[in-house]
Order: sequence, then C-alpha cells, then structure tokens
Amino acid sequence: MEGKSEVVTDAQLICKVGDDDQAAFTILVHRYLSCLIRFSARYTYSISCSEDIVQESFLRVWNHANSWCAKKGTVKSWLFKIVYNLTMDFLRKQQLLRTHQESLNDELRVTNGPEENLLDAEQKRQVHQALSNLPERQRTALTLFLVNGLSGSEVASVLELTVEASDSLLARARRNLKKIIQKEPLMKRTVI
Amino acid sequence: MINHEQIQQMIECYGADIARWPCEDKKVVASFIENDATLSAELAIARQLDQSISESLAIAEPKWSVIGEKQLTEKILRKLNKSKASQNESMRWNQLVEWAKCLIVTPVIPAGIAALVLLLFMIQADFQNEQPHNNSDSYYSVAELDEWLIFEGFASSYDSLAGLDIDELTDFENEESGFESEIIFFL
Repeated sequence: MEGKSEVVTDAQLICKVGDDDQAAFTILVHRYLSCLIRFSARYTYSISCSEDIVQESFLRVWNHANSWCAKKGTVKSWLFKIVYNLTMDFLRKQQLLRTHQESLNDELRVTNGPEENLLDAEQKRQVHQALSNLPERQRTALTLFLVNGLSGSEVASVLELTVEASDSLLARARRNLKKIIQKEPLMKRTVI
Repeated sequence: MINHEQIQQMIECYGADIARWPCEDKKVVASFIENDATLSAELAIARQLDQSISESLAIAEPKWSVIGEKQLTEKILRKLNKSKASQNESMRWNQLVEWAKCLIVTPVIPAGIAALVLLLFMIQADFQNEQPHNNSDSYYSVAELDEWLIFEGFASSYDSLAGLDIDELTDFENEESGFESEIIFFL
C-alpha cells in the first residue's frame, strides 16, 4: 500500500478522489496531513484549531476534487492554498492577534531543553524574532519554500500571485531577514 | 545561457540550494558559480542564511504526534462517510420527490390539457349560441324584439309593429344602456 502511494502521483490520486475513491483520498490524507497541520499551526498556535481547519480542508478537497485542474497549479499547492485561506479566515473570525513574541516565548519554552547550548538558543531566538518581524506574506512565502518544500511557482499559486511577484516576495523576505540578522551582533558571526 | 545577474537573482530568491532553482541545466549553473568568486561568496552567505532560517523555523515547529495523525485521519474518514451517507439520504429523498412528481404531475398535465380543451370548446359553443339569428346587426331575433317592444310599450300590438323601423330599433338597442340585460331578463 505504501509502495503504491509512492508511485501514484498527486494528480492521479486527485482524479480518483473525484471519482469517489476513498482509498485514494486516504493516501492523500496520509501524505499531507502532518505538514498541513504544522503549516496551519504556525498561524493559529493551536494544534486542535489547526486540526479542525485541516479536517475542513480535506472535506472540501473530497467534495470539490473534480474542480481541480493542473493548469491552476499542483495538488500540493492547491491543498496548501485551501489550508492557508481557511487559516486566515479562522484568524479573522477569531481575531487572534496574538503577537509573535508571545508565541515565540511559548515555543522556546517548550522546545529548548536544558542541555541546549545557550548561545545557540540565543541565535535561534534572534533569527526567529527576525522571522516574526517579517510581513505575514513574506514569512508565508519563505515558510512554504524552505519548510514545506514548495517550488517558486507553487508558492505563487498558494498566495495567488504571479511567479514574478512571488519571486520578488521571496527575495524581499530574504533581504529583510539578512538585514535584521546582520543588525544582531550574535548573528553577524554566524551569517557573515 | 544563464548569466551572472540571473544567478544572483536566483540566489536572492531561492537561496543556496541549486537543486531547487527553476532552471534547466543545474550542472552548468553550478560550474559557473564555482568559477566566479563573487557568486561563490554570495552562495556561501545564502547557505548560512538558509540554515539559520530552517533551524529557526524548525524550533517553532508545532508538535504533532503520530497518534494524533492516526486519530485525525480516522476522524476525517468518518466525517467523509457521514457526509456521503447524508448525501445518499438526500439523494434518496430527491428520488422520492421525483417519483412523487411523476406520479402526481404526469396524470395532472394531460388531464389539465383535456379540461382546458373542454373549457375552450364550451366557450366556443356558447359563443356560437350567442351569434345573431339573422344577418341584421342585432343579436336578437325579430320575434324577440317584437315581444320586447310590446312589453315595453313601444308598440301596442303585433299589428302596430309593422310601422316601426327595425334599423331605428337596432340603433336604440345599441344606445340604450341595460337593453341587453333587460332582454336577457325578459327571455
């Protein structure tokens, strides 16, 4: 089953899902559930909220699988687009304007063990701070590209931009990040 | 052929991982960078930046367990079956409604058409009954008018009717309001 899921492409799976093939849908869910939850949770700061969002997203995929076409982008970018839009809707509805600083402190409290090098932790904190200070679209583009492994054109598809605009967003994000990091004395040692 | 500026743009947009650049011949690009000191330096900086960003993003990675993944997958599939079951149920109801429509509407339409045809036929027949009995402008026969004229006092007897002009009486019929209704009442 797993071997088969590696062979079958996303496009083939989504076509089968369009024909109410539940097995194909299950493969698609297994393939993307985890990364979609993590992607959404970066905005909601709540796994349970992101679970609801991703669940709703997959139900939409099931109901509208026939509306997907390769011209609009890859299945992966389509899934990320649905999750991204639903996450943004959720944030707007909930008016979750929790600052990234708050979230950052929580995350670091959870993830940094006592054995972790203090200097390393400080560097990571600074980079994370810099990332948090980026405009939301730039951060999303960078996250999609670097963490979720989407291509430039897939990032463009998720953010509903042209490839040129998406590339420009990525470039600006990296430039801003470099500027912010270079201001920090600790990161100067690392980056330059 | 890719040039220096294009490679700089690629580094700026996509970072140091050449494998992820949207260009055709990546080996050519790699060798181009190796032979260019400026580009090599830029690529090294980009690599460090990539690493810092990835590490930073990784520490903020929300925790998501395999158990949670399994449970959520099952939950999604259950919901899927529910939505499918409700879809099937609504489809069944729709079918029932369709059948009911067929049962009710199918005999009603021809019956309605037949009733309409009958009604039109009756109206037509009634209309034909109301047609004038002769070629004069009046809808009423001379005998009917005679009777009415005597009844109303326009003539004293059937004999005196000969002196009255039928055209004048017809004009009178058209002008006098209520004449028809009186005739109908009289009849």
